[in-house]
Amino acid sequence: MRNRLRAGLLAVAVGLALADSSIVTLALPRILGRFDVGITTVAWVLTSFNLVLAVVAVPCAAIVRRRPNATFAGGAVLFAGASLVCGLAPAFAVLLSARCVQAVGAALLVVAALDLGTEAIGDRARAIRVWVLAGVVGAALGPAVGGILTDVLGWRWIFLAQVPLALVLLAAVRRDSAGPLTPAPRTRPLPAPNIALLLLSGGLVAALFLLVLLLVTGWRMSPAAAGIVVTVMPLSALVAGRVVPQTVARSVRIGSGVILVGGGLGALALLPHAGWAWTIVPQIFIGIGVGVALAALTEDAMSGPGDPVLHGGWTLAARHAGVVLGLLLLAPVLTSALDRNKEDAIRSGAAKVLDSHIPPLDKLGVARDVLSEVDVSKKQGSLPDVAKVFADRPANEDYSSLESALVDELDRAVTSAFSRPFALAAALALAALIPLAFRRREPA
Amino acid sequence: MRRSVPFVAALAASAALIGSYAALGGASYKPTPVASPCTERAWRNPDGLEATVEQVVLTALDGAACSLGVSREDLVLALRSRSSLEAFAHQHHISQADAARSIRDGLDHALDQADAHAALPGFVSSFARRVVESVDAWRLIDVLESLRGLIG
Repeated sequence: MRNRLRAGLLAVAVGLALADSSIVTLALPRILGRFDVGITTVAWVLTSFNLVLAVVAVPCAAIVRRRPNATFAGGAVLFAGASLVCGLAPAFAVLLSARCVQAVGAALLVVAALDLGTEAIGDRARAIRVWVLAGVVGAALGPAVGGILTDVLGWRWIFLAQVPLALVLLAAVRRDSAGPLTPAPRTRPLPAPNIALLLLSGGLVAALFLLVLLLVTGWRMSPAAAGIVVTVMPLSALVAGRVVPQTVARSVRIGSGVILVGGGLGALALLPHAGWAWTIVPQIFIGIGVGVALAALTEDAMSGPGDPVLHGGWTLAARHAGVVLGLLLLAPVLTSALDRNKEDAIRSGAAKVLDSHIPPLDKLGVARDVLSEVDVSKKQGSLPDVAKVFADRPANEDYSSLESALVDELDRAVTSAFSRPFALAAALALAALIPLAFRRREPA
Repeated sequence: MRRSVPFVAALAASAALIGSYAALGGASYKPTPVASPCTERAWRNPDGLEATVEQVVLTALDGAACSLGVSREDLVLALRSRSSLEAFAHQHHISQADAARSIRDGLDHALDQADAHAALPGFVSSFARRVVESVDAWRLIDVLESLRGLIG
């Protein structure tokens, strides 16, 4: 097989495996509806994958350096098998266990792809860029693809659709050379770039998970439309990765990239109005920042003495530990901000209902129906759908203007609730500069 | 190219983006304020029985909310079910009897206003006062709900 096609397949493998770190974001309410578990428990479908990936990345790298092709093949089969079990899971415990196994398969696939990609591309720095950007594209598109599959076919198809794709990847496998195995050289992770990767990835959780959640759950966009909107970020990352010359010093690329990510996330924390158009420029900033900084940070982290595959394992571990950190930090902040703003929005909504021009004796009825919808949405882990309250009511101007006023109140409350986690994410991303600033001078 | 140029450019671009979003109203969210129930609202001259009932009910809610020291909207939200009314009473440290008395006082106040503006025929006003005095607050809400079916 030609190296170009093989490199493409390896990039797809990385994108597919790392899309799973975010792919169930929009499916969580449906999974919650299927299994008898709480909202905090169901979030582990997302968190467990990233946690296991972070824990097993380095041990997997140690296996990869012995037999990269066989490990890649084993990872693909394990990933496909676990995806099948996830798709058919009859109980939540089965789904969660299969997700953990899927993460092990993903770790084997991704680390092996780094080694095999270097061989197929022939240039380590370029192979690292492709490896990093393929993961960014996968993780960025994951939520939207998962949302579309959930809407069209059901959440189980998120996993079932990955089975044949994972098996196709076996075409990238060659026979491993039967040469003598050398013992792994002493490989210690470089702390500064790995900690920076962890913090930057923690901040990027907001861009990868929260943004699509805001678009679909908060602003009621269809997953397909939201999917188109969020392609801005990975596209910007790809363009920046190609355009910014690699001759620019690594520290300069990292520093300016991290600042752009922080700026983009900071702007998302200050969205002037509800509407996807307001997210485009911040996404471009984040995309450029990721395209420039993430690959440079990974190159930096892999520049230490020892085995590059093991260093790759450390970077993967750092990135997904950062995702777990981001999820654990940002989710409670968002939940509490949503709860607080929801109370305010309900009170303001009640005022709008009482002051509206709908028939007086239906006002209490509308208020009760809105509150019932709030209760239902709370149980489902989603946001209230005001349109349902008005579905069986007259379609005259009085009712439609009240509906618009309530939707506007809800939109403003939701948009504002997302601003705190976005601000925290910006701080987390900018904190990546701290370990880099305090490390001993290293070559650019 | 000086090493600091990309940093400065990234910082300037980020500051410009954040500054422009803040200037356009980012992070200025405030929920639509609710009016104080103790501020007397202008009595509109209602046209028809339905509008008169609305005016009386809204004025009664204002009066009750004012005496309980809560907003009219919080009171309406509490009235959606018996359990939410109990939770509301517990949260604001008021007994259900106090809540019922406040609702009754509010309705009395509203009927006074209706009489002052000749919004209700005399016999309707007298009948309404008898109902308010003899029926508990929760039953009054049920009566208003059933009126919806009759009029709406």
